[in-house]
Amino acid sequence: MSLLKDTELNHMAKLMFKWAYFNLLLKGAWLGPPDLMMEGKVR
Amino acid sequence: MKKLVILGGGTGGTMMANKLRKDLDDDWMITIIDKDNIHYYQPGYLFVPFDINKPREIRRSKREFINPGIDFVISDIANVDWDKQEISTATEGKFNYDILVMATGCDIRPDEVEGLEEGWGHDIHGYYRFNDCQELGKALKRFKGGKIVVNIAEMPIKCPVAPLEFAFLADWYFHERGIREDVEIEFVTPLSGAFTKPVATKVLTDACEDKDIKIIPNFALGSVDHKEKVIQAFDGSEVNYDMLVSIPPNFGAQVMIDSGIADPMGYIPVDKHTLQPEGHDNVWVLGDGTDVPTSKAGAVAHFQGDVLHENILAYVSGGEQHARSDGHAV
Repeated sequence: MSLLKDTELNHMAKLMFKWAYFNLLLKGAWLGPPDLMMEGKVR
Repeated sequence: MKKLVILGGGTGGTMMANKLRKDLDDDWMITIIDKDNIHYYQPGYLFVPFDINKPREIRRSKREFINPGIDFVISDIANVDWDKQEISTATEGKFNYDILVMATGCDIRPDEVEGLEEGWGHDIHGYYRFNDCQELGKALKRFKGGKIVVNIAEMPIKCPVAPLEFAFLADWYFHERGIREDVEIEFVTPLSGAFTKPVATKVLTDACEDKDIKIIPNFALGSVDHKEKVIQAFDGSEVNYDMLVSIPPNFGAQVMIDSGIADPMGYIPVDKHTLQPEGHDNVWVLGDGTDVPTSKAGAVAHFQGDVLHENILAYVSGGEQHARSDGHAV
């Protein structure tokens, strides 16, 4: 699964992000440990 | 009463205020200062021209997202004095602080390119402001054929992939209207390729080829002639257009330059890992207003916020600050 590909899933995720932004992110909700976001990346 | 002041009630400032209010005792007063009460969901600007988002869906009240126990002051900021630990506002007086969090973001400055601002609205449009994205939508509806040039004037910009997203959405939009064959789309960038990183550049370049979007790299915009409908690079090369979708230079808040704490583009120099300016251990800066060499994006501000949250609580309790930002956005 690629975040860069032109897919319905990526498009829907982008639209759903608005809900997450207003209801989670702005309210300071914890979105998981920072290290999780480095999964697969080379340091 | 100890005072934590946050400059900017956008994504970074709101998030920090809400996070810190949960964990700081009531002997800490938290105040957000912002120039207005309108919160824009900036990622939605890209979708408004194509009617994927309606304007009303991306514009809310800032107060709506500021939790109880946080003061919200609406005023322009007139001066930031790190030595006196004092913020001067245009209409609400001065605010002293014990801790300062700065999240004042950045904005487009079309006046920084010769000819761009005077041509704005004359077949030159953008989508980095609320009104502009709506005007662009109207212009796209009127567009019956010709060449659309999507141009990044210079880096850094907010949301660096957005210009490509715009080009891809335009490709889809004109296909839907049945006139894609009558529309050329060119992506003109100061970068050496479609994007900043090699893996993404390869994928996105292939996507541009699939969608018949021409990439013109290494174009450092010098001026715009809106009467001749031409953009000119500093090296003399030119690209003509029928509609120019411009991503102008992005600058930090002017008041930071005027206060003597920012670089010439208005970005506040900070340690890229601690997000603090040198010599000021009670000041933190996050989001688009820093000079940190990473993407200017809400996701980056989110992860920076985690670092600030942990370190500010450590600072308050007198402990070691271990959290470090590494600039990632995903």
